[in-house]
Amino acid sequence: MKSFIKIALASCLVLGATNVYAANLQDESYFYKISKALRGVAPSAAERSAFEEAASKGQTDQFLQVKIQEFTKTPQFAVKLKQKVDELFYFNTSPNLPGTSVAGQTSNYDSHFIPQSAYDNLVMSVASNNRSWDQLLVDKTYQVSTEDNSGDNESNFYQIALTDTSTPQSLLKSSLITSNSSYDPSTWKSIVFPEGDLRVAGTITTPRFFGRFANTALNKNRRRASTVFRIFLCDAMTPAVPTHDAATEAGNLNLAFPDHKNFTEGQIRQQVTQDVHGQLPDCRACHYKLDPMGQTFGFSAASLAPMPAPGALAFHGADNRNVNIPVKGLGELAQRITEQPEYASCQVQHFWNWYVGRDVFVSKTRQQELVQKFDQLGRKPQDFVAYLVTTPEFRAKSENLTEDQLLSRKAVSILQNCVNCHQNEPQSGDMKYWDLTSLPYADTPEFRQYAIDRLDFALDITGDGSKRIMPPPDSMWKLSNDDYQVLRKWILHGAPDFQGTLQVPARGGQ
Amino acid sequence: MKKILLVLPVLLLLQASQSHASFDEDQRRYLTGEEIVWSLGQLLPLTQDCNGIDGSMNSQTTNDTKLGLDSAITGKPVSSGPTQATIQWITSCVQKAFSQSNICQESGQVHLQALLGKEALALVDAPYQVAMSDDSICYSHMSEKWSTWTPEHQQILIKGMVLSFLGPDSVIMDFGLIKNVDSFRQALLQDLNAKGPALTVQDAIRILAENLSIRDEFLSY
Repeated sequence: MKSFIKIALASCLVLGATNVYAANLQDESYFYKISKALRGVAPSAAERSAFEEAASKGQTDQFLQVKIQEFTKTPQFAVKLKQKVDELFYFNTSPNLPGTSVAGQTSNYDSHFIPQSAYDNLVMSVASNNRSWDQLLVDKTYQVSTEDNSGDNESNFYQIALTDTSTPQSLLKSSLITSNSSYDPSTWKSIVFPEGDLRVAGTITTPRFFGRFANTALNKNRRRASTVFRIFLCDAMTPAVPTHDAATEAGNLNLAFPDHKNFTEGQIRQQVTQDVHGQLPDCRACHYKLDPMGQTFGFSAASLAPMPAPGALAFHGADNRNVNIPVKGLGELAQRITEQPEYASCQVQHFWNWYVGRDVFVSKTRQQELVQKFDQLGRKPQDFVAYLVTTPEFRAKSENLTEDQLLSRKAVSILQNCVNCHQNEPQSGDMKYWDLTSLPYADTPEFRQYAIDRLDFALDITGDGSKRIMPPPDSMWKLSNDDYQVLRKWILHGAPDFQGTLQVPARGGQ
Repeated sequence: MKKILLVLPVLLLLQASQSHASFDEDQRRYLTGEEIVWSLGQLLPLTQDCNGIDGSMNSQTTNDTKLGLDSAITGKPVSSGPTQATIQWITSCVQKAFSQSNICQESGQVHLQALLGKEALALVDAPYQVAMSDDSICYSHMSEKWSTWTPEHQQILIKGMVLSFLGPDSVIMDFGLIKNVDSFRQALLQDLNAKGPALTVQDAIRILAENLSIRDEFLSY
């Protein structure tokens, strides 16, 4: 009996120590959180009264379920979600603030969205009509305004792709230009491309996207490609850090200032015409992904290209698989992206960050469950968000972090800088450079100790920093004194993980 | 005096953030500028210029900071939490909403009901229910000295406004910043009573609205 009690108590302590979010919000607090998270305002007095009435009848759960469904269908929800997407695209999110209200009524909030561009209308249609999230990439229908100069430009952006006579007739046959009377019949029109159109890919073939991420002939649409990777595959494309040694430095100097005495003029001319951009080994880490995707944007600078441009979707998958899918155009590229597991997990992560919180830890197992749910719900944003706000993590009342839990988060935020550069390196049996932010580092205590020792050696954390070999001297990022103090304290405390569990024995000291 | 009033809300916010061992501002989800307007608009007759937007040409960064927007260059929030500019914007919106010509107009009176709550409005003075249809009577009540109200009526009004802005006691307690809601309301009452005999009822309501509209419980979740 005594043993049982001891085991039970120990279990409670362990569970309590490992679960930062132990307590749940009370029903009414949960109602407030749902209301603010989904539509940006607290419940009104009438809604509070309705809640109290439901609570008195013991029907709180049903009431909250109904309200969740109701809130996800409000215009405010769609506007909020669109703003999140705008932030993802690095678009200016200056809100439309009329500064007036109508006696506490919320029905006029839909007037806050003023359609301005094909991109705006597409995102709002996904958010407000609960269309599949994939439509942000694969949709072929646009609503454009012709009222002012910007609208004329948007029409012209698509017009060239529709009227070019060299385009095969089959691509033009089903294209429609019709009037749409949503706001003013004379100022809006729909442009509909055929289902399999290889040139069109949702938000990334809109004038706003092209204008925001302008390119030069030299850059060859790599900027647009990197944006697609960042938004839809969560690949940040951090600039590579070149290796720093005498041989590399000499090689770089030779490239910049070739020894003309030993070259003929013909050889020099040939060397000049070679495009070394993106060919150097360190550059290839990103360019093997960027260049094939950039090719699919073809010659689309100020307008959609009349012909699709072939390219490829290439990247290193999360499970070490090499993805290299040839595509005939942007339309096919977008479709292939939506079929990748990295796309689904990336979009699920976005939703998690927006509605549950970036600071709320989600394990790989939990993320897989969320991805399954995302797929099961048809990737529809309203349905998935309605599910997210019913998760225990959303309802949990955040507790104050312990010192070790806070320390682990601070350490990981510093080590993220290492991951940004090293994430594209091939995995080896040695230090997991690409995964320094995933705690704990290994399942076995021996390898965890090895990993911490290697990290300590590379950064000279527990020393005075003078013997460090990372980051490289010419790296764009340097550890500050404060960073060193945080990492030192973290290692001396036993490198605790996010739950505060020590990865290695603590050494003590500060 | 004005500087103290300006600093006090900032201190309240600072205190709010210091009470959590949080990872910067991640644990507190702040409403966007637009949502703040929506939330204020539920309770106050906001004026047309309550939009936080500085009309000058080179003020995009100022507006982004004020309204809590992301920088379109970095993709990260310009500010991790409400800034002094945000507080100034919100309090200026509240002050303009309480201008004499606004609060007692027909639309303003409907907001008054949402602001004070039915219970407070009904218990404060029965003639108020009649007064809602007559601007001059509304103005008259608003001009009364706060000190002429009974402590019971003062507490009912404060309770109604706290409920409207921050929610029921259980919600406030769950938020975690206020440990004793009764003490909090008492502190608000003492603060108003310390303003002096010249304080009118409208001034009291306005001061309460300013204080409550910049609290974390109102601006975040």
